[in-house]
Amino acid sequence: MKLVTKIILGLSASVLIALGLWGVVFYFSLVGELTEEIDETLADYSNDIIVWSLAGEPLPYSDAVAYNTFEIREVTPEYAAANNRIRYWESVTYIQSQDEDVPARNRSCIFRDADDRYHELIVSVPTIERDSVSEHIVKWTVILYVVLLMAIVGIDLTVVRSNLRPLDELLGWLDSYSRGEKPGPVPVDSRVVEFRRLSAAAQEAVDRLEGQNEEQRAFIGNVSHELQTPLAVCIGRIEMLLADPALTEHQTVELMKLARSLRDVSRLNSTLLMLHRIDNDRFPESERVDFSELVEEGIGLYSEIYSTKALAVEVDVSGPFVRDMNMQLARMLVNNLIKNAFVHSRNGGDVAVTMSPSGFTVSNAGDEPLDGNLVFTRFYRQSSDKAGSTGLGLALAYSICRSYSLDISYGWADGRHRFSVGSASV
Amino acid sequence: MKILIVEDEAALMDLTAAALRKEGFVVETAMDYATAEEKLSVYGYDCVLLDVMLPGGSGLDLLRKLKKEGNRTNVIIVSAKGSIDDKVNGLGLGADDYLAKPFHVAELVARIRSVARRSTNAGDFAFRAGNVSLEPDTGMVTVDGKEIHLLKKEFDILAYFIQRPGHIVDKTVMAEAVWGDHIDQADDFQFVYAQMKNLRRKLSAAGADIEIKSVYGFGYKLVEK
Repeated sequence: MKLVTKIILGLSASVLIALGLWGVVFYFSLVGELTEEIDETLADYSNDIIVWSLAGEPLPYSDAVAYNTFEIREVTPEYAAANNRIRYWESVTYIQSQDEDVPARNRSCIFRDADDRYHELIVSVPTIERDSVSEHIVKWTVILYVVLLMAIVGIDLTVVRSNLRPLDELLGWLDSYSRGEKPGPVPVDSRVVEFRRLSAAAQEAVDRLEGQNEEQRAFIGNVSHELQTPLAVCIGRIEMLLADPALTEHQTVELMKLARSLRDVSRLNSTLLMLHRIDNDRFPESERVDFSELVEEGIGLYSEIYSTKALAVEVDVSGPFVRDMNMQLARMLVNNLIKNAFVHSRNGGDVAVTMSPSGFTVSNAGDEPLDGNLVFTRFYRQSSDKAGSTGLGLALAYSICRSYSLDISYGWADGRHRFSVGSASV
Repeated sequence: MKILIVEDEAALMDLTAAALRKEGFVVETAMDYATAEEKLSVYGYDCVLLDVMLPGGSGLDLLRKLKKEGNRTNVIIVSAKGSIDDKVNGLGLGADDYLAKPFHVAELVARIRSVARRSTNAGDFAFRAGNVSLEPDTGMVTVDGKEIHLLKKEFDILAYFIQRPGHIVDKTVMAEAVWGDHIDQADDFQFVYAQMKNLRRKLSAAGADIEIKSVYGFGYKLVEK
């Protein structure tokens, strides 16, 4: 749910409750006020009638034609004693002049005349129709609500939108950052304290993250650099030992196994160092690279090395893919992808390379798709990996592509692994 | 032959010094720029192994200084693998050879011998073993003075072994040196065996008195018969 929607919903709900309460209170206070006024009128009216009646003056005209009506009847002292209080009530009275039943307010009281006889006086006046009043109030409350709602939505959209623009910019910046681009400094163009703090916090977090990444990369780079010499010395010493004619066959074989393992470590180490150097753009030399030549070279090399696998190799070049880049890295990229296809092919399988001026694809038949999210991460292992695999080949290819803004992607279609490299638009 | 090793890594220096002494060289060492400069100005050496990255200065500066002074000592530049700049600069400044770290000690010895031979016997770039001689620059291989024709990979294999005579070489290491860094994960070494078989056949047919022997299924060794 967007913030704007949430604010609109929240405001609408609270305004609905507030207006509902307001309507109820308004209704009761209006009706109460009117009733009070009518009751006062009724009291004055009955007092006048009682005074006139006791004074023996003629009473005003009263029948159902008039709006105000009254009725005097004599009651027994017992009745008078039992009902000796003023009562108000509402009823529906027929009014002839209007030819309809209208709601009326009534007042009854008991009075005693000079002859000690008791009389009950009931006076009535037409009053408001409560249903119609409440209907009216509800109707206008609803209209007010709708008008308010539209005003709220309008104000909300403009005010919230314009005030949240810095937030939108910050979010856009974060999006582009998480896509791995380098979007520059966090945008800060707001005078709002909260947004400034948010921007500052984002900048600080990003700086810290970048710093840590940098530190980590530098650490790996330094470690692999420092390991190079000791590893070389170990291997060198083993080679010196191997030259000793007094060695038995068993000792020789053990030493050679040891040297092999050390060379694996050394290879892993130098690949890590290579990754570090690529990530730090330590390959400034650039030249025009025709990938079709590299593919041909790589295919030739691996066809020879993997000749016993009897793979069918197909190269389809509709146009050479040419880029300005470092030759060593370009060769490494091509060789890693082609080698990958050869290594992970079944015996008697096939490897295909297709190339157009916008990129190339290396594909080979496989048993099951790889995890596209992990395939380019360091040390991603496959069950078909052979001993001596560093698990870094595709990570290396990925790093090379990234440093030259090339797209590299993995896909699985028709039982084939497909690794595609191309200009960023492909 | 008297050799000066200029290297700041103590372990690597010890190893190299030990290996060279075993080969019968007289070895002296320097671990920083100042020491190396001093030793070079005071003593004469047949060959200097010069590391590029040194405490107190660059090995290339030292080389520049040597050449300016007209010092005829042979210089082999040693630097971390992949620093192509060092190689180009070093050779441009007049170094006699370039070796990338980590190197095989036997290869270093062969290079030292080759460099020394070149300076005493102008133009002889060949490596020799028994009656076989191999010129890395021209690609020519002769057995007893008679030229034999090797294919590219066969030549590379022979060039690799002739620089490491008598040393056991793991077949994976040799394959990596000849076929490139990407032979790890290879299923088998049929591609090595096939080339090796042809090379052996050509060598013995030409009457070479060296042979490349298999060692315990792990590797090979070039031996004189």
